[in-house]
Amino acid sequence: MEELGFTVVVSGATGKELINAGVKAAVDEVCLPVKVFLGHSLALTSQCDALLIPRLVSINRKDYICPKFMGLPEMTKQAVGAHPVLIWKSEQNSDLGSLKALPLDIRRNFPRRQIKKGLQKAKTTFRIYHGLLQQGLFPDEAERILFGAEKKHRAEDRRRMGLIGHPYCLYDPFINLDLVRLLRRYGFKVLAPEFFTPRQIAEEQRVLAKPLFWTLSQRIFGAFRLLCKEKVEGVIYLSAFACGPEALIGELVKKEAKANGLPLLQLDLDEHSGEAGFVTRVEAFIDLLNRKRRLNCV
Amino acid sequence: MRLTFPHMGLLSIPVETLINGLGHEAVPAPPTNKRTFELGSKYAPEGACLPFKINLGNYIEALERGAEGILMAGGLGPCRFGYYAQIQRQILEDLGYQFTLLLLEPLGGERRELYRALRVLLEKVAFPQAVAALRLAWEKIRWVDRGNALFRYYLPRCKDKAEASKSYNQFLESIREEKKVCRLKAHLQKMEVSLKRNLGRETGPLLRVKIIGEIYMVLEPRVNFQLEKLLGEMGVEVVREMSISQWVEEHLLGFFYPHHKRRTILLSEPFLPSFVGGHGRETIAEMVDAGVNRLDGVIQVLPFTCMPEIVAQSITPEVSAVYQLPVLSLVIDEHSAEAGIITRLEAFLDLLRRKRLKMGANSDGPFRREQKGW
Repeated sequence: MEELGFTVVVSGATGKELINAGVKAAVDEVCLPVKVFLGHSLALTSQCDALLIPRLVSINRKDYICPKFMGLPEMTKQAVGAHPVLIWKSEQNSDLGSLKALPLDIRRNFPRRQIKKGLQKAKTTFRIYHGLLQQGLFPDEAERILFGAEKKHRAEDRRRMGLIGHPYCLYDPFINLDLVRLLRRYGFKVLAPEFFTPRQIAEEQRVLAKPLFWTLSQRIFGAFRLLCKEKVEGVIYLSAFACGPEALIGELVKKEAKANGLPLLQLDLDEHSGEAGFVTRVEAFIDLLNRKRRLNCV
Repeated sequence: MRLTFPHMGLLSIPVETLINGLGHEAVPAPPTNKRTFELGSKYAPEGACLPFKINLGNYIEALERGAEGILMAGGLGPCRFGYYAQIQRQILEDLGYQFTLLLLEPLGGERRELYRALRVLLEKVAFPQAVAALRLAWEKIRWVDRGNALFRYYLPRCKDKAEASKSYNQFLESIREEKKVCRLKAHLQKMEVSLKRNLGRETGPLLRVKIIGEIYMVLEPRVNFQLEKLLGEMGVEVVREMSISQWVEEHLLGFFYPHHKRRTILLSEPFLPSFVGGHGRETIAEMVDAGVNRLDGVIQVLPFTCMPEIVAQSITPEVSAVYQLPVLSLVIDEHSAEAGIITRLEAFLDLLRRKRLKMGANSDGPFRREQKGW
């Protein structure tokens, strides 16, 4: 975008007021991430001329993200009212990085070469970013490195905890009530689905009788199986309340957990989650893991 | 093989015919009842949508009655329906039931699964017989849907509602038993005669309300609290485009009936230009259709946590504002109670009547002022 001479305004961290605004704007039954998204959009309307909203239909062949992502631009339009919304569409089986995906207004008003150059640059950055994620960094850390910070070396923790769930639940410290930091404080190294390569994850889908058609669910299921092989101590599954695919995937993950004898804690998140109850449950889970370790040592 | 299948409204009539016609024995689950709800919500994941739970309850009850196989449809997503069968199979196997799952996947998906299911289904009878069974089932779907439309039209106009329901049920039973294609029409005519005899005096135009939403919830009267009958008895004509025959035409015979899809896309384009899975787009299209045809109101029925319908639901205010079309969204799950639904329906109908009164006693919808050259 900056290559084209726009000034990009990105919304800040998620906060209480932002969520409240989103909750007001949304239909009751949508999941928390959509409410957060609408909150961010509303916060941005006062700061910018137009919103650029992606329509993520599918990023792999025959897969979808989720119906709510497909309708996201329309839901946002409904929420922000008259504010102009540009839709960055990724049609079925096509790539977000292609020229056709950009909104018509942008495609018409800028020379083709300039757009292509911008896209190329964006793609390179994207690739570096994903490389960093697969090294075991969290998105906020990876972003800092991308924009020039030094890579910090953390002491390698001995205990490892898996964390699975949709990316927007895992990496937003407000939504997940800072779970990652909590786990780190307890001396765990946290492993998330984005640390594995897509190929590894695709490999794990073979055990299913019918391939899953939600990309993110594939990632959750594949990552869970990989985590089992990685010999993590336990896995925490963060899911958003009223998330459609997760209701079914949870069942698959539970069965895998039983088969592998891996402790699993499933936490549902919504806008009413209170930190105290959340922390208590995580701590109880960690206590159980400690106990299991002690018993195994004896 | 003793085969069972999930219930969806009147679907059991043609499917039963088809299974029996193919030389298998149909073991229909008992009609969806309280125990089905209980079994379903006990064993299904908590966040799964209501149709999933009811299907599961149906299977368990049918397996208890001695079914050996389950006939189920698949899908390609992104609606959860496409993955129902996989999870249900896992749950039923964990419960210790023995059965084979015959999964009718669409052609775009796992063809092996489809061919396997078809081979098992067609192994009993010769090809001409199978074709005859298919034809009988297809004709039954069509006549049942026609009868249903007729009943929806006549019920609010009938003097004796109980009598009307009785003749409708008789019609359904006789269609269920019928073995010859050519005699199906006679049953419909018989019902029409008895409904016409029952007609009351016309007291002016009736309220016309369209039912839209998720197909299972719209079509299964035992899950949506007999919405159509309730409305009919309150003196409202229920319009609904969605039906089993329309679904079959669109999804299985889409090549011969391309107009369904075209119509959906055409009508929903201004509000929802993208496919959102399930019946999300159809919901918006039907709502626009209701607005254009000046119906009095629209009732959207959806199961709790249904993803495509939530997207549609967040767009309904926009459509509603454009066409001045009141809309009531009924979200139903296993905890919904009939009293709550009836109260909401009554309130909604009161609003519609009031609106009509305001617009003039004999208006035929919210756009009457326009007709006068306003």
